[in-house]
Amino acid sequence: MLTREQRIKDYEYLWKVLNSCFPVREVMKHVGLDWKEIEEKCRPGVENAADDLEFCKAVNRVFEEFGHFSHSNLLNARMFENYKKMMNSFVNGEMEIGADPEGLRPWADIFNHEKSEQFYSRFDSTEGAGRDFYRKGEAPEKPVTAAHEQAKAEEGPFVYGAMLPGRVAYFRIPSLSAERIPIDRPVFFDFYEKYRSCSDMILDFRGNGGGATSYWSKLIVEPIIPEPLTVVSYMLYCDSEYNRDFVKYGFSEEVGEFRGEKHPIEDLKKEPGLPKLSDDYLIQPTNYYKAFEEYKPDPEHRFTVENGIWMLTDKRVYSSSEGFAYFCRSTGFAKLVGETTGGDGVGITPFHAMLPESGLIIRYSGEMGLNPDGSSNPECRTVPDIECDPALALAVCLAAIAARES
Amino acid sequence: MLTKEQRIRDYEYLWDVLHRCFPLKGAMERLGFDWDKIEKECRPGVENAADDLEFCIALDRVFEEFKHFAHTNLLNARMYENYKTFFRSIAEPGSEYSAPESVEPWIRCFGQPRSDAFYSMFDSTEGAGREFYWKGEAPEKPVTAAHEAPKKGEGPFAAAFMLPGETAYFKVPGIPMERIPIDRPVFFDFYAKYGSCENMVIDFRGNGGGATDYWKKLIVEPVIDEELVAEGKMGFDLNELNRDFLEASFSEDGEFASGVRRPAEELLELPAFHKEDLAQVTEYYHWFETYRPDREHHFTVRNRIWLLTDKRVYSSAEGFAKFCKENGFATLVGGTTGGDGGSMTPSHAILPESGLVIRYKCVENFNKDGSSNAECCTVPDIECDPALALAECLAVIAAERSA
Repeated sequence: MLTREQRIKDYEYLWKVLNSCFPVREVMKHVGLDWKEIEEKCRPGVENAADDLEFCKAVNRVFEEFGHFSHSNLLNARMFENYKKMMNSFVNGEMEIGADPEGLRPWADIFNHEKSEQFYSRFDSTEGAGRDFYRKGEAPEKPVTAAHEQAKAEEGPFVYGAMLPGRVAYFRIPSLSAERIPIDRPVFFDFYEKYRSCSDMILDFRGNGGGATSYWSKLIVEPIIPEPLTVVSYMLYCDSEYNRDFVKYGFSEEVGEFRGEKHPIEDLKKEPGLPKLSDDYLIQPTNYYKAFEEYKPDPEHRFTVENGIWMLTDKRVYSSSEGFAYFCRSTGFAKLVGETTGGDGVGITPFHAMLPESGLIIRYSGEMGLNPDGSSNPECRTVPDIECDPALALAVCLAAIAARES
Repeated sequence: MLTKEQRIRDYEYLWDVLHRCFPLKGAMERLGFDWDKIEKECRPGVENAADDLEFCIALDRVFEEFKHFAHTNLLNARMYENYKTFFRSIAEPGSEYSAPESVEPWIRCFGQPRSDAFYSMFDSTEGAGREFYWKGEAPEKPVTAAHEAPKKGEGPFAAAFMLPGETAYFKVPGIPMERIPIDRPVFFDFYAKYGSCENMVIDFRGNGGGATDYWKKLIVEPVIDEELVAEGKMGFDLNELNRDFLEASFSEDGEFASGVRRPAEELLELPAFHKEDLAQVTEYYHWFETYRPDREHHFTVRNRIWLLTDKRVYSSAEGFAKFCKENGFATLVGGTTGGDGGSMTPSHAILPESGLVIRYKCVENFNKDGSSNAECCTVPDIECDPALALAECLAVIAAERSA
């Protein structure tokens, strides 16, 4: 069991990492979250924890107070096991990521410390644990929920595609999880092969919490675009001793997820076309990465959309789904219908850090992405072109198409 | 505070009402519920309750074990106050309710001095939900989804859209009686504007019910060209505990004014009727309901009507699903419904010592084949993941158009 001194050391390390590497402190103040207050509020729980389980819950409370803003989490045993498996699969080339596997080396390495293995081995890693900490064997049974969750356990595709009246192609995409890419690919490509074209295409991303960018870039964008596209995005980050490897690999020209240029933060105000860039965004980050993402038409799997593409959104659209919303907004690829998204989709795979005494692992977005107008993406998210109750988004979208036709 | 003897008397009265007036024991047994086991397991909580709050919670456990099957509930203070207001309001002249003169037995269950006194100890605010709290101790009720806002505000609940291919689409999240005048313009203005459509899709997913008149007046009667007579059968055992409710429902002013009472043995002719249900059903009521075209608000559907369903379609929303399937009014797409619809308004009973009020269906409603509607619900014509039901329905329409 950790001593009180060890717990305090971990807690203070946690805040060092957050202050030096998690570049959203000032932006979180805009949404009423003050780090100093949270640090003071959660400290007694850490100091007075009766055992390691209480300690974990006390540390976890920081992230609950954060509302898990911008991918911030303390990994519990279940998440530790899942991420360890996933990151190693990416690096070993067993799972498609759409980027150089070597670029994810630090993400895999952080899960291979014996200290973490030992500490996490005492806690329940079954599905029933969710995001919480339980002693081994004490997590509740995970109930089976919606029908579409069955597909996670079985082999069928996640995505659904159908041709609706008016030659409207409709795809329901509940998740962009990387392991689904090979399973869902035939749904898209067989549909494209069968129909070749449509009048409009609706991409239903409601409830889609993210996964892999390559899911949407390879299965949706590249079969449709007639010419190459380059999208510029800005990612503000902190270059610090606590995240050096992640920065080195993540923003690498050779192996990083995005090609781009590193700049000192002072230069950001000289970049054109960012009217909503706020001065306080620049307080914490040391640098920004100007990323250039290229999309090339897929010559083998073509599909023509004659009129419009529409993306249905709600507040659960997050991470790489939000990345797609950003892509659609910045390129005009699709009109957005529904509810403002959940944000935090402009950037690379979230970073990790290991607390030195316990081996517990935290996760957080290592950059703050900007919207096309310069506003903070995790704060301001993406507002749809047509705002409506997300439960009605499909009908509203189809009605807009019908009105245009008449 | 109630004595132990008083609590036991109320508990035994509760089970007496259930055995004699709630004719769904057989259906529940087929679904794995064991009434004897539930009675035994809940009794100690009642006997040993430290105070009246614990007593209420212990009694409520019976209905939690029942999973509130077929509208069974122990009313908490909030529900008691709401129903008290509701039944009085629907009996008022000018209410939307089609059978206001038959409401008296329901009204009498609310406002008894013993009930008022007992319920006055508990919290009746929205935050109480279905639970029992001492007065002032219920939590604040959080505002939830965006679409719930219209419940509190003035906007309509329903929404209407014309989709490609001249498909009329109506999202109908709920059919409470008080929404009828507010939602009526959504339907009638749409009908007046468009006059007709190729297909009509009525989305009832998530619709937990309300008033049969909502769908009868706003959907069915504007759409039909000729009179339609629907029928159904409800089984019961009439006794002094439920007589007033049954007779009011079957009276000429009642919800089911046209019908005849028949011996239960005739139900054996129906292929899916379970003989063991005759233990609680001694007769049935064969009712007839006439739907008359509303020429003033007519809307032509040239091809088909479609109803989207899921397991939350319940009560009078289930009544519409059942109506659609049994009369060919609509093709059902989605998930099997939640059942227990298309029959009389649930009845109530007052527990003699506390004045607590319970709610339950005093009839077993039968599907056309004799199966119990509360047990078997309504299975869609096209079964699919309900989240995809709209897309599936539209895809079928597109395929039919191109065939």
